[in-house]
Amino acid sequence: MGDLAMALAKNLDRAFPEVVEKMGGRLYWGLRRMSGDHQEAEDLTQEALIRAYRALSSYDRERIRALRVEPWLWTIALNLGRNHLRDRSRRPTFVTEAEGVLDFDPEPFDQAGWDRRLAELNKNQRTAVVLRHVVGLGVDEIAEAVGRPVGTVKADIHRGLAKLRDILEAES
Amino acid sequence: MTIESKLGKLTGDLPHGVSEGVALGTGLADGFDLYESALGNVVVTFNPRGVSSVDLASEGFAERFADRFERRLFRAEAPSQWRRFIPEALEAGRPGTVPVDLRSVTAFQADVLHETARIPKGEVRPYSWLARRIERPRAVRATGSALARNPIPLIIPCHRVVRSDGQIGRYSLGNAHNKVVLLEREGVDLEALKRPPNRIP
Repeated sequence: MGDLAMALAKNLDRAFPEVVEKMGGRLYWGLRRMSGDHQEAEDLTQEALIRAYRALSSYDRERIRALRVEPWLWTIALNLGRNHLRDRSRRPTFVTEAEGVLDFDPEPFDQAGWDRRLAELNKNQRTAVVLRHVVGLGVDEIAEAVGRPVGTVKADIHRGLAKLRDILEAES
Repeated sequence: MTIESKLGKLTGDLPHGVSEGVALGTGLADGFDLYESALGNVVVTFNPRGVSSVDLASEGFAERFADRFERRLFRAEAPSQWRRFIPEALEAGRPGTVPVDLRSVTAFQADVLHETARIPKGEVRPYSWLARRIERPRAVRATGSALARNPIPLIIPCHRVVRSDGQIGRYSLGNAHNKVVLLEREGVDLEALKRPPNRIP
C-alpha cells in the first residue's frame, strides 16, 4: 500500500494503471454487493477511479505519499454512490441473476441470494460488512473510508453479521 | 463454512471494459474512430482534452500513434459533447467547436498551429506570413517544421500554408499530392499562385 502511494507520487501516469489493476476488482465487487446492480457498480467503479486520478493530478507529492490509497479510493466511491444508493433504497430493486464467475465453486453459491440478504441490513452495516468481508479491508481502513470511529465500524460489522446469521437461520 | 468465508467468495475480477473506460476517462489512453474525409477514411484520436491526432486510415496507424504519443489506443466513441462536430471540422478545415489537444507539440509549434487554424477555407498563406503573425518573423523555417509536425491535419488546415514562390511545399498527411487535392477541392487556383504578384491580373 505504502509502496503504491510512493509509486504514484513518483510517476502518477505510470503507476495509476496499477491502482486500477489491484483495486478495481475489489472496488467493483464491493459496490456490486452494496447495490446489487451490475451496471450501477460498473458506472461507480469507473467514475470513482477517474475522479481519483484527477484528484491525484492536483495533489503535491507529499500529499500522495501520505495517502492510504485503498481507503481513500473507497471514500471517493462511497461519496459518489451515496445519493444514488439513497435513492435506490427507496424503491424495490430487481435482483440480478447470478453470473458465471462462481460457477466453479463446489457449493453452488447464490449471489442473488446474498444480494437479497445484504439488502436487508441497514446501509452502515451493509457497507461495513461488505468492506470488511467481501473487499477485505481492515477495520481501521474502513473507519478511514467511511469517516466513522473504529468502535462504531466494529459494532456495525458485528450487528450486520448477527443479522445475516438470523436471516440464514430463518431461511433454514 | 462460516458466514465470513462465504462473504469472501462474493467477489471476482474487474468486468471487461472497465479498465479501458478508466484509461479513456483519465486520458491515459486515447480513443480512436474512423471518419470520412476528402482524402478518404481517416483515423481521428481523442481524449478528454480534445482531438489529439488525425491520420490516414492506413496500416500501421496504431504503431505510428504509439511511437509519437506514447499512450495506449482503444476503439471508442468521442465525447458526446462534441462528437457530432468532428465531421464538420474535417470538412470545413477548422476546429470550430471541437477542442484540440496540442500537448504533443512545443509552445512555439502550438502558436503556429493556432494561427494556421484561422486561415479561411479556399485561401492560402505563405510560411513567412505565418511567422510574422506569431511575431517571430525570422522563424520561417521553424514555422515550416511546426506545420510538418501538425498532429491534427485537415482540422488544423496546414495544407493552406504554401511557399512564398507559389510552390506548394510539403505536406504532413501522406504526401504533397494530398495537399494539391485538398487545395483544388477548396477552389484554390494553384497556377495563379506561381505567377509573381505583379503579373496577377
